[in-house]
Amino acid sequence: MNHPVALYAAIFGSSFLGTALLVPVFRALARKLDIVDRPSEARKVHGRVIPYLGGVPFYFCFLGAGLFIEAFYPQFSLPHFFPIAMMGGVIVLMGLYDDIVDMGSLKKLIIELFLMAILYFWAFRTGDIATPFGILRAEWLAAIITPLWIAGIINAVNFSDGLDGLAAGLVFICAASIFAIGFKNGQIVSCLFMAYLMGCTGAFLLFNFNPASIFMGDAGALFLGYVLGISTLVEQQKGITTIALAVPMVVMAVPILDTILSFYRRLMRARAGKFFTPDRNHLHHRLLDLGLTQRQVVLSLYYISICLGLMAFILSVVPPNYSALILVLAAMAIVFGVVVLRYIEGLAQRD
Amino acid sequence: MTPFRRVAILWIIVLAVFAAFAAVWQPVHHYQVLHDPANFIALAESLEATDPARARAALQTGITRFRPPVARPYARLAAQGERGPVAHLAEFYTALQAPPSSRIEAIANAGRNAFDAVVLPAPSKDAQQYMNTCFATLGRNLRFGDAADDFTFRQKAGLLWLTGGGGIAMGEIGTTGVQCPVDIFVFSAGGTGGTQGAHLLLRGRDYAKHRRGLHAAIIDPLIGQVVQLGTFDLWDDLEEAMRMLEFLDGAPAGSIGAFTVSDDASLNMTPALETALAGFGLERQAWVDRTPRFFGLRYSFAAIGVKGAAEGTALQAWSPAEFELDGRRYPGHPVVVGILAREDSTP
Repeated sequence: MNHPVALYAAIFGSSFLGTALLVPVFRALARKLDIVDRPSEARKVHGRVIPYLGGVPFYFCFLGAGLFIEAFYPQFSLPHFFPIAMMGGVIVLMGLYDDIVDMGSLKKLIIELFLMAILYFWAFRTGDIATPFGILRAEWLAAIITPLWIAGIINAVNFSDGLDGLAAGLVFICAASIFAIGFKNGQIVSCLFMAYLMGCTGAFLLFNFNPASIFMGDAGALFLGYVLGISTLVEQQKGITTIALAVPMVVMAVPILDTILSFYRRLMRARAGKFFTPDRNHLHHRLLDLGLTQRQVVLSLYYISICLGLMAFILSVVPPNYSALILVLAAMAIVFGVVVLRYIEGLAQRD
Repeated sequence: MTPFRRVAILWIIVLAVFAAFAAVWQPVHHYQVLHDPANFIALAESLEATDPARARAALQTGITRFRPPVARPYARLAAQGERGPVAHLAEFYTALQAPPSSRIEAIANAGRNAFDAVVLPAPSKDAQQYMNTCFATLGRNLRFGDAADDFTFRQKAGLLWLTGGGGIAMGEIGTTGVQCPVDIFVFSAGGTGGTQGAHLLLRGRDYAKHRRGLHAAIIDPLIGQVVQLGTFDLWDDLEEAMRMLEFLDGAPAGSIGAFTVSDDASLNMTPALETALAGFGLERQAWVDRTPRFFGLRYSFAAIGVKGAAEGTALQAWSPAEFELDGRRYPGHPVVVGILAREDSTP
């Protein structure tokens, strides 16, 4: 496969530069409009006022990258880029509204599912789901899975945005892993998406790594999750557009697991009518409670994510029979990690 | 400032940027669609009234680059007085799209008419057997079913000739100047045939295996014996490309190379391997992602060349996996190239 390496470099470089230049502008705008995060709630871990809106440049760079490819490399342009960009815009508008007014989780989830269902029927409409055992053809299932999957990834990234540099760093590592896998498999469009994500998040970490001077806010976190989710749909396998979930599921296991555990806790609280009320029991909160510093927690989660990225790479090169085995092993390792964490928490509480 | 006012300011900024993006993107996209080489039929039709010469050139170039498995461009060229096989190809592709009740008869007629026009020589016993083998696979892929058994020799030979784009030749391998000592037929159904759709027929047997990838046979140019045989799964593994490169490098200069694609062989086709194949006289004729390539994903591709021959002199045929026209996708078809050895060159 002849990869357009110069184009990858251009997309990475322009996204990096664009984000690096625009973030200070939006930081100043956020301060001027008083769109800031105040450390008022118990689940907040920072002790000072930090401006939002750091995620808006992600969207502008996304539009710029799409336009650049359409104008100069039309052979790699995505036929349904326009609907993707439009829905991405709606996600950003929703995120901005949430950053300022706080619209509530239920409303957000409903809107996300609705938008992704529209996007599925407008742009993708594939009936093929790539599983470790082969391609499963079921349009009705794909129509259900696609919105759930993208909304799930959107929320996974959003939930992980609780510490300085955590969400951006995790997305960077996920994108780097998917880029490596896509490069090996000759998936050019997927590589382009990942080059863009690496550029944006890499530049954003300059401002957001602990101690952060700006947050991406819901606008940024939701949009990054959206792009990550969409990127699993854009590639073709043997000429057929498929929904390929196995590799991204392993790569993004940390935020996905945190989302699943959060969902479980919310179910437990549902009887008290608090299903959509956020809590302070996310993975990063629990690690902080064990006495780790913010940097230590973030770097630990980076480390786990890098290990999972490597595992995903191995998953992509082994035969399908073995990939199912690796998925099971990964799930077992994650469950083991959760059990160990609970054990350590128990010890800490006893002390 | 109220929260809703702040929301409004930010929404206006985002919407303004999106509007600016849309205002630039739409004309750029429109321009790219118009200038996409794959849209050559639309371009030619828009030029027909004002600049017929350019329209004709656009059709000829487009047909060379895309081999569209649809009648319209061939019919338009034929209507403009183009000679050669275009009228027969128009008839053939019209027949492929005919309703099931009349398709078989239409295809049979296209084959007979093509045979009458090109006058193929009477083939040897071996060549007849090869034709039947190729035709049986062709029939399965073009959905003739058992009806193909009733086709006459002229109809079968004419159809094979059409699916090879003029690929059945007498004696000489393309324009390499090298005479082939034995009858050779190379058949490829690409993605439509799965792993069963490739034949490498010579010396009374089929050298292709029922496996995905690019099948290659290196043949002694003097006695017509297969000296090297290999199947390379270029869909699956980049290392297969390196293995094939070594295989081709090891072939002696002047030897005949026969190549056919089973299912797919495009994903790991490296530039170095393309250069090695071009060294057999093969030419990158297909335009894939606006780049000349030997073939794209799941294309059918069959070729016979000579190591050391100039690029473009080999005998080769290909058909795309599908071609989109007016929002409808037309599937490609199997292809065949064959050489009928001259009696005086048979060992």
